[in-house]
Amino acid sequence: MTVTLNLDGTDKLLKQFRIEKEKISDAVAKGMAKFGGEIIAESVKITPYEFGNLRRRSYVSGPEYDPDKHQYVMLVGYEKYNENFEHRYAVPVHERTYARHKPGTQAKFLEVTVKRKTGEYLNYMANILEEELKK
Amino acid sequence: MTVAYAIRALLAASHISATVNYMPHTGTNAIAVMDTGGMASDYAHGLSPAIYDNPSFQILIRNASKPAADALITSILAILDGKLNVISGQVTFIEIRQSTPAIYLGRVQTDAGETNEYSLNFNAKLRR
Repeated sequence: MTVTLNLDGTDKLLKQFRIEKEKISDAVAKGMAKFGGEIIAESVKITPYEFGNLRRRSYVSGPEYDPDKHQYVMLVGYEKYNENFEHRYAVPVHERTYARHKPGTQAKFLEVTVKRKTGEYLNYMANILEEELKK
Repeated sequence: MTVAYAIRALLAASHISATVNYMPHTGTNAIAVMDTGGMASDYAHGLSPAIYDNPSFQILIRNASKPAADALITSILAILDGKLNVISGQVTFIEIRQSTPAIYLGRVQTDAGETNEYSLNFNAKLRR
């Protein structure tokens, strides 16, 4: 059994993509930055705290364009690698899943948030692109 | 569905004993398998089996000796990482894959003295 699909107008679609290339790139970058900000905002809410230092050490960086892989990379996390901290403790606090924390906070505060929000990403970006391309 | 018990059974088959969702603070050497949630399940409508779960789990290792811990990590990775179609009791793992390299968490105090602590993280895919 053979099914044949004919798509008409693809040349016009590609032409439109080329024209809108800058706008699409900018919209993607903006969307990624906003989504990264949402992830870290959600993560901070469940980050354990004693004095609030760990929450203050959260960061969002990018997006940076990787020309070799032709992709944007967004970084979200705690205790950015190139910043000086007298004592780094984000990783042990994140990984010690046996530790007891105040209600509403937990270990794996970044991983759990990323996993929960991953499913929202495509729709989120589609909405951002639609908004930006309408302008 | 939690997978920590199934993973513990896989480790036990290779004579590595571990606790589940609990890290004992007695003694300097311990291994704990912890359920850590995972990603949303995949639904293959119209096919059987129709549901695939994507759980994640963590293995915490304590050992007073860093070389011994390193050997243990190597053994655990050999048992679990990159494994396809593994059956453990009622659980059929389609795939088990390490999601981060082993992380050294530093030294912790137990009732038997200070020890080293490591974290290994995995993602799995299994048929429900």
